[in-house]
Amino acid sequence: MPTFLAEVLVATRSNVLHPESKTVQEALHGLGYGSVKHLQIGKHFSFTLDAADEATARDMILQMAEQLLANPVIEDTHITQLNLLEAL
Amino acid sequence: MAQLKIGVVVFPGTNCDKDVIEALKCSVPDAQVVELWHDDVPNQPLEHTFQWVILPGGFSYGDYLRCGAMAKNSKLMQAIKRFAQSGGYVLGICNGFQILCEAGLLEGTLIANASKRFICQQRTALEVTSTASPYTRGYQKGQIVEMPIAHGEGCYYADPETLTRLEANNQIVFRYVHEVNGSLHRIAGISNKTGNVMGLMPHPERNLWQKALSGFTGEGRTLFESVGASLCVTPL
Repeated sequence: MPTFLAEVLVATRSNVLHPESKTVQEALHGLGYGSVKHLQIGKHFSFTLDAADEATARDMILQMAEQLLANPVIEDTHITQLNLLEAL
Repeated sequence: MAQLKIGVVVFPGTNCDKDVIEALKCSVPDAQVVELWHDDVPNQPLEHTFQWVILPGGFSYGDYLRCGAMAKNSKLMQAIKRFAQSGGYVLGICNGFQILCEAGLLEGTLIANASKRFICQQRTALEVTSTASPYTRGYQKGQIVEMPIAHGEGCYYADPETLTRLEANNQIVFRYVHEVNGSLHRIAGISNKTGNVMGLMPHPERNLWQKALSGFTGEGRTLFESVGASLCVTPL
């Protein structure tokens, strides 16, 4: 079965208050980067998985996000990369 | 009537289990209290032997990923979900509340305090918003009670539709009198629609006795007594 390398980003939805993101953005403003806006800290997951094809791998990842990786009430999941790995 | 049986759930990182057991000893003295280890698969469904299961506070699984995220997938939680669906009483305190939200037994979620600080205060004023819940039957509606709070992620969040529904169904059980952690609608505790599942961030088990000098009012004990009384009058 093919192996895929997945990069997944889980981030708090922008309309939900995320004090950590707000604090970091304010700190950047303090350092002189006053133009920084909409800063959102997220969680990055990187892993390999075996799946029949890319569509199946995508479905598996979204299911994993639903069950564990993300809290659907406040977070969105983005698959930022999904690449077929050459036979290891 | 059979003896009331209460389960107190222990995850790795739970640290309020002994306090909850102590609370049950003084408020529901005739009950049999059993500790339930998260990884033990019960021989028979919980609903066959237990009437009430409590998830105490702490830092289950070190709060890895999100508070309650790891605990919700434990073996015991699957049994607790079935228990709750069959009408069993489930109470989550602090981290227990976070776990119940993650598990989908309660709506909404708890996120980092708006101040970004861990808040620890002994005397936090709460309004008893509903006495329709079996958990608050012993209080007066609108009564102001005090319970300690100690949490970093206690800011209640739900989308506007959910909040409207919670208000309409009388599911908001406790509200902070003053703004403390950024919770929407100042929510401190909610129940599910049927009322058998309840979660709250404050710690009723840390205010069991009236102690004039230290300022404790003993008002947390009423919560445990209310459930004890509810279960004793409800046919099992």
